[in-house]
Amino acid sequence: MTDHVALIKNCLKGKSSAQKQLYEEFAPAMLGVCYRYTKSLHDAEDILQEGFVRVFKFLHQYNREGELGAWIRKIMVNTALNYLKKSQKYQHELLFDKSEMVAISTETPLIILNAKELAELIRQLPTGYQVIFNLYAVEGFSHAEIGQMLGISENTSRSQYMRARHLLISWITNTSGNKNMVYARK
Amino acid sequence: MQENEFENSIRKKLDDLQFVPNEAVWKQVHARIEKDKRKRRFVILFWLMAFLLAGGGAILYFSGTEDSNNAELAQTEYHTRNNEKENKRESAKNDTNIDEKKTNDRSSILEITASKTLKGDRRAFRKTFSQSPLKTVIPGTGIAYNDEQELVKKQQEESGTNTFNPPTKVTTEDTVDQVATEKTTIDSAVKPLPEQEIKTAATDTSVSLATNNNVPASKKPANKQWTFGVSVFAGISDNISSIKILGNNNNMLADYANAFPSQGTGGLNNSIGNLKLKYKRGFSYSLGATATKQLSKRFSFSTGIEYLYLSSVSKVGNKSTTQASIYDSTLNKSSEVKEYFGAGETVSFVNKYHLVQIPLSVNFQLNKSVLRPILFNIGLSPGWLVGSKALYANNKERMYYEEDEQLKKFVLSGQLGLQFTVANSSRYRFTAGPALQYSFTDIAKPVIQSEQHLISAGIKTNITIK
Repeated sequence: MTDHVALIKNCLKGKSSAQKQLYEEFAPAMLGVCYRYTKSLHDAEDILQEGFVRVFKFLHQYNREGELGAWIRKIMVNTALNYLKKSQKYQHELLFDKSEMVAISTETPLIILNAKELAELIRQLPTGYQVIFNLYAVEGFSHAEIGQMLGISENTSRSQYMRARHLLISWITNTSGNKNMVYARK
Repeated sequence: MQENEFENSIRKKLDDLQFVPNEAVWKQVHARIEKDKRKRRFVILFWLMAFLLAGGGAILYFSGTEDSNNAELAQTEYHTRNNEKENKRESAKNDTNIDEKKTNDRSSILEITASKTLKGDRRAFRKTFSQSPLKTVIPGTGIAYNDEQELVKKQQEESGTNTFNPPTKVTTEDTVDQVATEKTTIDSAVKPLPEQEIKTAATDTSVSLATNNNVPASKKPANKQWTFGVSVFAGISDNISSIKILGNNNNMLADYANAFPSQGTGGLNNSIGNLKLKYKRGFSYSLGATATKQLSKRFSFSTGIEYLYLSSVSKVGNKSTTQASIYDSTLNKSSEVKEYFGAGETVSFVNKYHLVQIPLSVNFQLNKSVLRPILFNIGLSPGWLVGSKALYANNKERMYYEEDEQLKKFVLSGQLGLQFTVANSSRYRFTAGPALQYSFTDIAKPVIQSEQHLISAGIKTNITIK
C-alpha cells in the first residue's frame, strides 16, 4: 500500500514525481467517477484534469484523517457539478422540470450488468436525473445535501431520484432480459 | 430493504469502474500546476520588491535626516568661510558696500537651502520659497535668481552633479509597469479557476460523504471565528523629528535661524547654538499576542497586545558620574541626576523606549491563494510608554541627562506591513514579512519644542493557531 503521508508531503513540496505518482494511483478510478456524470469520455477527462489541478492546489487542506481517495473523489464530484452547471450542452437538462416519467413497479431487479454497462445506462438518463442518481445512490449524499448542492428543494431531489431510479430499473430489467418487470411512460 | 439493496448493488458495481485516462490529461495537469507555481512566485516577488523599495526608500529618507544635517552644517561652514574670504577680497578690491555683502550672505543661505532640498526636502523648499520670494544673487556672478528651479539648475550646472535624480523615479515606474505587464501576461496565460469552483473546493470539506469514512477537514466555519497567535518583530528604529513632507515648513526656517546665530558677522559656530540631540538608528523588537477575525473572503481584522522596544543612539560629550541637582526652566522642575553628559560627540548613548500597545489593523489578502496568502496590513496602534531611558538636552546648563518627564505617555502610531505565508498547515499558519511603524504623536512634550517621532522597520513574523 502506498505511503500516502509521504506522498502528500512530497506533493506539497512541489515534487513532480510525487504528483505524478498520486495522479497515476487515483486517476483511473476518478475518471470512472467523472464518466458517470457526463455524456462523453472527453468531457470526463476535462473534469478529471480540472479536478486534479484543484486536488494539488488544495492538497494542504487535506487533514489526513479520512482516506485520501475519498477526499479526491469529493473534489471530483464537485468539479463535475460545476462543469455541468457551466457547460451549455448540459444546461438545459439540469432544469429539473416536471417529468411525466413514472414507474409502475419498484421491485429490485437482479443486476447482471458489469460496471461499464451499468455506467452506460446511468449516463443515458437525462442529465438532471443522472446527477441526482449519482449523488444519492452512488456517492451517498442525502437529499437535503443534494438540494443544497444543486440549488433545488429536498423534495425535488427526492422525486427526481425516484423517477431516475425507476427509469433505470426498467432499463436494467430490459437489458437483463427480465420480462417480469414492466415499466412504461404514463 | 429493497431500496437499499438496489443502491448497494449499484454502488458495489460502480466501485470497480475504472478507465485509463489519456496521456495528455496528465501533461495538461502538470502544465497547470507549474504555471500556478510560477505565478505564485512572481506575485510574491513582485510584492516583496515593491515593499522593499517603498520601505527602503522610507528608511533611507528618514534616517538620512541626521546625516544630511551634519553634512549641511559642514557645508554651511565651508560656504560661510568662503564667503568671508570672498567678501574680504571683494571689499579690498572693489570697496563693496554693505548691501552687497548682505546679498551674498543671503545667497549663501539659499545655497545651503538648495543643498538640503536636493538631499531630500524639495517640497518644503518649494513651498518655503514660493511663500517668500527672494531675489538671489549667486556669489561672484551677480546673476539674480528668483526662481528656485533656476537656482537648482544653476547649481547642478556648476557642480556637474545632480543629487536630485528624477530618472531614478522614472526607472522605478518603468519597472512597475513592466512587472504589471508581465503579470497580465501570466494572468491571461493561466486559466484561472472560476471563483465559484474555488469556493466549492474550499467548502468541499463541509459536505460529508456517506459512502466513505472521510472526516471533513473542518466542520466549523473557521472563516468567521477568532483565531489567535503570537507575533515577533525585529528590526531597526530611530527617533526622527518629523516627516518633512507632512511637517510645517516654517520649522525649516527656524532651523536655519538657529544655525546662524550671528548672521551679521558671517560667523557660524555650531558649538554655541542650541544644544540639540542627534539620533541614529538603533535596534528594535516586539513580542505580542494577536487575535484575528475574518471579515470577508479577503479582509480580516487583527488586534491584540504587544510589547515594543525601540532604541536610538545619540552622540554626547564626556560622562560625569557626580550627583547633581539640576533645575530646568523649560520643564520647570528640579532633577537629581546621578550621571550626566556634557556637550560634544565623544560618547554613544542608547536611548531606550518601552511601549505597550494595542495594534488595530485591517488585513487585505492580495492574492487568491489559499495555500500561501499574502496579506497587506494597515492600521493604528494606540500605545503607552511604560518605560524609557532617554537623554534630555538642558540648554541652560549645557548638559544631557536622563529625564522621564520630557516624554508623553500616550503614543499613537501607524502601522504598515506585508505578511507572506511561509508555512500553512491544518493546525497553524506561519507568516513573515516587512513591517513599518511610525508614531504620529510627538512623544516629546510641547514645552520642549523638539519634535520626536519613533519609527521602526523590520521583519515581523506571526504564528496563528487555527
